[in-house]
Amino acid sequence: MTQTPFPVRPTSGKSDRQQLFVRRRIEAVTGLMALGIALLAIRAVDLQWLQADDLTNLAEKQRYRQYTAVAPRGSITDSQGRILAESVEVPSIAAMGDEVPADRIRELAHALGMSEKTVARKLHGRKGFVWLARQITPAQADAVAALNIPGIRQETEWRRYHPLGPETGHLLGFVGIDGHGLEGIERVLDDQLSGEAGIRQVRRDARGHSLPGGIWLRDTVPGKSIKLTLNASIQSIAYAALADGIRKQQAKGGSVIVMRPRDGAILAMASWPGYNPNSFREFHPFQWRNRAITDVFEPGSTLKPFTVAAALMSGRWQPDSRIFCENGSMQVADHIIHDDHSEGWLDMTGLLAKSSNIGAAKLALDIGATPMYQMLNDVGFGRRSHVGLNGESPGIILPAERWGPVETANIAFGQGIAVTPLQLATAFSVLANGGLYMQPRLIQTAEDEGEYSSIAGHRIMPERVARQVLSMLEYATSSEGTGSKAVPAGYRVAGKTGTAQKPNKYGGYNSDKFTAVFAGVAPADDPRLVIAVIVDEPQQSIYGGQVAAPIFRNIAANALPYLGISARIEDTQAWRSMNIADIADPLPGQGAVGLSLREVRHLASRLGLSLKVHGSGWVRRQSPVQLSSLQAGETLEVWLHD
Amino acid sequence: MKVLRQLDWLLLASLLGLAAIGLITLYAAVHQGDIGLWQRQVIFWLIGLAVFAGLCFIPLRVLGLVCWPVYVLALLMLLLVPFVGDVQMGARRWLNLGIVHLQPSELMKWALMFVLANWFATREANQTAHLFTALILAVLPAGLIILQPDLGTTMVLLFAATAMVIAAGLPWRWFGYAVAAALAAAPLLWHFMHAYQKQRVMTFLDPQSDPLGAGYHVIQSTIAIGSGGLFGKGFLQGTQARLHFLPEQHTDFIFSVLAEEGGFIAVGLLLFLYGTLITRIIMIAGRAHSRFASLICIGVASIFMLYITVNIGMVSGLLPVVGVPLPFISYGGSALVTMLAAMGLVMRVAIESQGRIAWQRPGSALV
Repeated sequence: MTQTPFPVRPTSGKSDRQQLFVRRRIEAVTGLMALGIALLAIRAVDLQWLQADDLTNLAEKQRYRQYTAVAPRGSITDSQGRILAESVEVPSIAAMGDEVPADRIRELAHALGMSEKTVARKLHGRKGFVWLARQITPAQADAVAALNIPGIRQETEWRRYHPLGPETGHLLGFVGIDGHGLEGIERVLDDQLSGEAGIRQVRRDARGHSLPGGIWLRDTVPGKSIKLTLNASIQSIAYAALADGIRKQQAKGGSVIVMRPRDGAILAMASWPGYNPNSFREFHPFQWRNRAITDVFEPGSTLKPFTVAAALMSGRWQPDSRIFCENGSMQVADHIIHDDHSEGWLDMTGLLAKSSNIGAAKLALDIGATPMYQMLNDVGFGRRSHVGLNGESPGIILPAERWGPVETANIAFGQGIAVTPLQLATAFSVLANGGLYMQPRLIQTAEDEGEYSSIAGHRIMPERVARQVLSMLEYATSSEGTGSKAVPAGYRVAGKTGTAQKPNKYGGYNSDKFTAVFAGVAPADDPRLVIAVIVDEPQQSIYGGQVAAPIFRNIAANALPYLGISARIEDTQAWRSMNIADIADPLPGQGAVGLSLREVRHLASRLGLSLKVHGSGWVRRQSPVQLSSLQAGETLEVWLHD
Repeated sequence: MKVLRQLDWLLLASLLGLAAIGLITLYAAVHQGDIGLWQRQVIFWLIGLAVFAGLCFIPLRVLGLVCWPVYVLALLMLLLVPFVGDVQMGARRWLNLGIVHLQPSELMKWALMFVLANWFATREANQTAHLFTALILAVLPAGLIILQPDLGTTMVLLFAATAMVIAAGLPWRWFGYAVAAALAAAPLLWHFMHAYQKQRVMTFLDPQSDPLGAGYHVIQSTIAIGSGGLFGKGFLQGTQARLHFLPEQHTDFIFSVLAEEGGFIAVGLLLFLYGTLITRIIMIAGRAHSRFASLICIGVASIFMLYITVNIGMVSGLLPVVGVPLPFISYGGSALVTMLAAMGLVMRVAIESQGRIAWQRPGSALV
């Protein structure tokens, strides 16, 4: 006690002893407490010094949140700049699960048009961000915003919209909810259309709320716009005509392709059954398929013009060469070929007009497999056109060295070969284009803006041969031919019907399943459009001339005036002649001058005259001058010129 | 004022230092939300300092007289709690006395300490009878409190009692027996623990096992402390605190706010102030004029020490989560006023120890 600096009066000896004892024990207690403080200090050093960097990283990581801001997708337009696909901003509703008061779920569900139970289930047990309703209408979003419920937030998303819906469905495809193209053009050109997503870094708090501000780590780059060669008006026309024709025929499906032969531009590509890409999930994936490029069919008689072209090119056959059609039945090796109508002698024009299988087979057998194969390959059959779409089928065509007589004969009239609608249209473009093959194109590039492009074609056949075949095909759409229903009033059409049995899976043919086809060129004298129509399993009629040709006519009758090509009906003489030819016998002395080839053939058949034709275009001169001087069975000779 | 000259200035200085750190940290913790909390805490400080000052003038002997009735009263209230207590946060701890809600366990904490100090003021803690009485005095309230359930207060109670018994001369051999007995009883204790208490212990052993659930708070506060680094993120700049990653940041987890914004410097300062305070209290105990006064100081120091260790240990992931405030820093009126009152007693011990009070002089009528 003596060392204490201040005097404490010891009350007693005993108390002093007790004090001493406490004091000794105090050292122990002090040690215990110093241990506690030391422990805390060591922990502080551990956390704030040794682990400081790691924990700082953890803190940084959790206080920042990186958003990926999806870039708006580029739009797709037709050649005229009309929107075919665009991305629109749509509101979506999300919630911070634990911040939404339970008693307001009913109002919220009502505003969203969802059941209370669904909303409650989505929110149940969720602490952070949860989507409640994605891509809703602005009206719904406003209704939700008006409720002003805590924890409910509105986010902006991009939604792909295709204004033409099912009309362009197969061609354009669709875009998934993550903003990537899943089918069609949207998929093929996804890289260009997508743009680059931006990354935005924002600070957030523990409840997941983003704080205002933030920085762009990477700016969004909007996707590029794509211009197609397509023409939205013609696409609509084609789709409507196809849908109408298929409905009338209760057919299973079908495709239409409209091409501009001059440069291979695809103006329309439509398929049935259609589906709406704006709600693609409601359709079965088989409905997403773009039949115009993926599906193959046996072209049937629509292949005959190319057989004839090959024959003309061989030099062994001339347009007026006659061929004997064996009266409807011919044996090739162990195989018998039939014609629907037995024919005797036919010239090339007649062969195409009457669509004689035997005639075509004899031509092919005469010139041989290799020139035939060469012709078919040159016009685009059996290989992909590289039009720029996924899933394109190359079609099926045997190599020439494997063609025996039966194969050669069959392929000559379109059996034992499978083609796509696009290939058929491309091949007819060669005929329409004076023998030049133009690669089919769907994407408009900068250099082919404008009506006339400088894209060079690849010559397949002499211009003369192409013109001759086209001229024959014009006759095939006359009342004498199988394709008369393809001709709209006042226009000249060159085209070919086709009717093919569908192959079954056993290597033979179905007796009750057909493909009806029509491919043609309009106007025949100045080819502006090539249209291929394929109808799968029509029910009312099986013939291309009955099923596909009217669809062709509907498309041509609407698309040609749209392109500024007027019907020749205004031409007084042609108008009068045509009417007369249609409804009454010609007046005595009435000439054929001014009529089209189709009309003069019509006239000749009415009068029972046989016809000898020179040139193409309109009848300029006739012999004899007086029709009345001719008796049935005699020959009328006409010279045509544009 | 003679009293002013007799004051222990170092004790007062460290107390005021803690007041400053506490109010600054609390401001940082609440400035985004209810700033009224901070204003109320300032008022609590003023009330508490008034109580502190008042107790400096009350003779310690008065405490020796009232401690027994207070203990009995607190025990009675503890007995009442299971029947008429209010349930808050899943535990029945509160007694509604009409004007104030009171936690009898808070009162008992101090009452037991005074009673033990008084009991051992004239007895040595080396006789079985003396110790047995002390054991009854401690175990009765401890049993009632743990049933509430309130593990934190029970631990404080038992720790302070143990510290005082050791200071009162408990033979070390006996202490060893007691520790062994406690360890043996631990599995039994585990068996009687509530599910949430077991959960806390499990979470403490492996916080990452449930990072978004029970372990979340500890992980977030550990991140806050560590990311403060040496110098801290700056006043009001703590991201963990501002962005609500920290739970209960104005009460139990306020240390994380201080550590994040002030860094190791602030933590060091806080621990230094606590160390000074507790060392000073123990020094006062060492030179106290009576055994009673000594033991009271030991009790106060051990309660503070336990609060500090348990709270900081909890928020830094060393100990399981037990709801214990950080003395002088955490928000909370009754805890603050109670602790300042305890400091007032210590200060009174310091004053009386100097023997300069009139009635302590030789010949005083009161002696």
